[in-house]
Amino acid sequence: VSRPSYHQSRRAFLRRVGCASACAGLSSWLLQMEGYAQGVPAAKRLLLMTRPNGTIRSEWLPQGSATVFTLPSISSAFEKLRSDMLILDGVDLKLSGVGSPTHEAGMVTLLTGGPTGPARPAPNDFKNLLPSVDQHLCSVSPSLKSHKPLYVVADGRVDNSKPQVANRAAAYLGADQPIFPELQPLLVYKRLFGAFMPGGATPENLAELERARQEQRSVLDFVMTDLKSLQQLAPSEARPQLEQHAEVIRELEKTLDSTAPKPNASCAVPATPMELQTNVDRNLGAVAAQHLSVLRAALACDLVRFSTFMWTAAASSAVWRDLYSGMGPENHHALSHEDLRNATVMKGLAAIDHWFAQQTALFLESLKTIQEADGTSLLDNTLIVYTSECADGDHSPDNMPIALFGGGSLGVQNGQFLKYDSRSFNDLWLSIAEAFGAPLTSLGAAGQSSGPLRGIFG
Amino acid sequence: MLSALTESRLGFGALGFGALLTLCVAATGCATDGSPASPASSGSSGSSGSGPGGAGAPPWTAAGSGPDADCALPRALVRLPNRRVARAIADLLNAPAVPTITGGGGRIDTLVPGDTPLIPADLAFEYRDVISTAAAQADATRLLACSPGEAEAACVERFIIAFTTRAFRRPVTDDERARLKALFELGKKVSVQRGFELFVQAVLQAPSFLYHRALGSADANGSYALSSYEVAEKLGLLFLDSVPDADLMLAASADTLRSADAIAAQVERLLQQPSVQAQMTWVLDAWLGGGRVVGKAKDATLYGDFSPELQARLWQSKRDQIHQFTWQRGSTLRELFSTPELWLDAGLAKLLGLPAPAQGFVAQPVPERFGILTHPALLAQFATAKETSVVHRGLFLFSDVLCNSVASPPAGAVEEGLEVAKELHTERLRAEYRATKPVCKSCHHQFDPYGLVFESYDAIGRAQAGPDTRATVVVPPSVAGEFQAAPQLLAKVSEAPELTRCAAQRVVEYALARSETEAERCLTDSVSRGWGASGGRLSDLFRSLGTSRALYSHKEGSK
Repeated sequence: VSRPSYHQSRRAFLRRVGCASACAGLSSWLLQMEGYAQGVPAAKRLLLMTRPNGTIRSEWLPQGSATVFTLPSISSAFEKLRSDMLILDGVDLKLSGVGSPTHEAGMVTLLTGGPTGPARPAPNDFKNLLPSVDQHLCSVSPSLKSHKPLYVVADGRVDNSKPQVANRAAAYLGADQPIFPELQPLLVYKRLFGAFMPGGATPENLAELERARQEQRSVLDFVMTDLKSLQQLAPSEARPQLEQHAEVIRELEKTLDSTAPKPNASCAVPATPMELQTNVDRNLGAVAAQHLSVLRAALACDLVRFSTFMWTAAASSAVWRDLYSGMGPENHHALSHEDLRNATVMKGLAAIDHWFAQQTALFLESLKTIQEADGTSLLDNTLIVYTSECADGDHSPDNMPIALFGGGSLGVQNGQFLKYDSRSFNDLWLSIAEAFGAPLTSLGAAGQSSGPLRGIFG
Repeated sequence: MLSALTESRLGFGALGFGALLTLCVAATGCATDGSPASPASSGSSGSSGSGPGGAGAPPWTAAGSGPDADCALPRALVRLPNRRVARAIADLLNAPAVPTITGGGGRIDTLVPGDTPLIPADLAFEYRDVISTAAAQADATRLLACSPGEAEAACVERFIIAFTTRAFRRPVTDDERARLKALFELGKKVSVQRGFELFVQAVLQAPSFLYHRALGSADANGSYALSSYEVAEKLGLLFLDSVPDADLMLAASADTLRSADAIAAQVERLLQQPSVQAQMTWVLDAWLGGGRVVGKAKDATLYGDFSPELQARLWQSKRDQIHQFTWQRGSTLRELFSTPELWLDAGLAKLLGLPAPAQGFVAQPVPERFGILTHPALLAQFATAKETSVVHRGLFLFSDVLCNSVASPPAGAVEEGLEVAKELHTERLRAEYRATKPVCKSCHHQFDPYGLVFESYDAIGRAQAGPDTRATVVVPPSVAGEFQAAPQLLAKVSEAPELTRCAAQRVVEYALARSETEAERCLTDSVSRGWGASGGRLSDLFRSLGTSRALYSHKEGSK
């Protein structure tokens, strides 16, 4: 796909002028820039990154003591990040509610910390009963609440023929209210960076911009009027849905008044992603790279402070046949359920998880190279939680594969390998909530949390 | 033919012949000689045919005793799934390709797409992006073309009204018309194209386009009669997966879709259209596994022939077979499920070791095949990369095809199953093990037997000798029994009432874009009864749904 010309870009820009939710952060960006000039510390961000189907414990878990350890084949991808990394062991997803340990139950519990509810029509597609943790963090944390969260996935395929929710949802607004992650990097780019007008702020461009905004105001005015008419007719069950839609339209209206941040040393507008077919094996890496490029810029430009990034949906059905010669034809999920005593299976699974680790490491290393206005790095100011929906191919929720990266300015005690004794993943969320100024006394049902994990934050 | 009633509050004023025949046989078991009956004679006993709607009121409501009398769907205002939004955008703009919309969690390859009911901000943004791109690419000059001698302003206004009425599936108010015209004029200051784009953006981002509306107006009995526009919308969604076509809009604007006659006539018209037939074939095919054989990875050392081209041919063969049975042969569901034929081209013939046809796909009887469920596309789809799969094949037939619900595995069952798969090396042994373990047996004893009979087909659907295919089916009672091989079991499945009802359920779910709940159950029952009474041809399934009174009857939903 060829890149659009400047004139095409400009026309396209004027058609979609304004951007959506993330632009709520634009005005705060300006304040942030002013703050930096006055010595205010850089903003703190939080990123949850997941890869699917667990790991091979023996190839993931460090060997050695808390501070002196070697990294086996999978986690060796993070060698360069050793001083910015904290690997945890002995932390379990404490499942509660309906169903046995499955990818779906793991995913619901990972995101919400709460019990699973009854399944939807597809077996195992458990509903959530609680909102996901991000909903609390993004409404209470002083660092996070000013910005809209971002949810992205690089490949949404699940090894299930039904339109499942639990393996694909990135978060939940409330009980059975899934938030599906965005799949197309180009759309995320347009939404986050739509206010950056090609050609810069020339007088002619600014005049056209104002005209385009006026047009879009008129369009949205018509849309809102129509919605209000419909609200008069709607059955009571449909009213909350329409009210939420009205809120979204109001958000779109607000973005028409927002101002684009000016690129600077740390905030650079990323390259426009090319249109790529998503949910196909051959493009998974490229789509993910585009997403991460946009995400990195969004974090650097302070457009986003909380995000989830799913390498793939849980129980991924991506086929990794071309990863190396000898790799089997089974999709990742199917392969994860094969017998690990089979050397080919073991090698294949380790190779896939190593690939995720390698690509994640490249992204994290790039965050380290971005210096913020207060002199710290973007990685210092971003806490990354890297994990999966289950520990391994047997769906075990125990000893989850967890690595924390960055977050130095939050006081994360990096460079360690910490072992706990069957603590809850929810306790990790409690620690993080505390660090982000949004403390919680408990999370989930009784027995699903017991207090913040100690030793992570100094 | 019966005449349509003009009294708007009656809803269905009269029955079309097809629907009447269907309902008569289904509801009362009365004999017919094939000639149209009068409303009075088709009402149930003791009724004069004069009910709450006055003389000539719908016989089933007048009687109030037929099986469908109380069947009504909840009034609805729900967002259209992305698949339908995309299709409607393409139809309204005469676009050559249907745009892709990925937000909101919906799937485009399943009957129930599963989109989130809300429109989150990222999806609203995606709509705007897709709509503005589609509008920019549309041929505005052609869409806005004036008739000879027509003034430009008049023809723009005509276009605005026609486009918006079809997009909104309702008449445009004067205020809307004025505002849309003002938007067009605002953009026209730059160019006509810009005016067109602004107008299209406003209409297609509006909730009146994005939401399916089945509200109706209340009658004295507390039920809600749909307007002609709402009926047109239902027919459009059902048969076109999109907004209504021009004929439906014409009928809606003339308010002639309030009678069963008129609806039946529209259904007949629609079912004659190749595009509608293709869409209905898609529905049946989606019920029967869809195209997920394409991209199904197989072990190259075992199944080197299973190329992407072959996978595409397998799916085409299945689709063609369903299409031929439904639209060319006028076959019944039972015939589709018991035919020994496969649609073979040279590639598939080679795969199955059969003589290749001279060209294209040709129907050919094939030994060891018994109905669509033994199509190699399905057998390959419901198998793993290296092996057959009793669980996948059994679940597909038991759950997807026969609509039996299966509970999520109880605690410990999944772990047990995963261990078994590693220790036992044939599907028969694994199934036998599951049958002995209570934690597995509680569910697997229901569907494993359905998978075991297919063990005579390998992982890419070729017949194979050797495996034991005996199975004892326990549920449902209509199918239960001991079977030696797939043909015996499939013969019984093809006659099972559960199969007929499941086909009806899947089509209803497709039409309403949601899984069946208690609220929709009576509609499915009604469609199933009507279909059976009409002779059970596959095409009659869609006819039965399109003419079902229950599809158009609404009541207040649960609060």
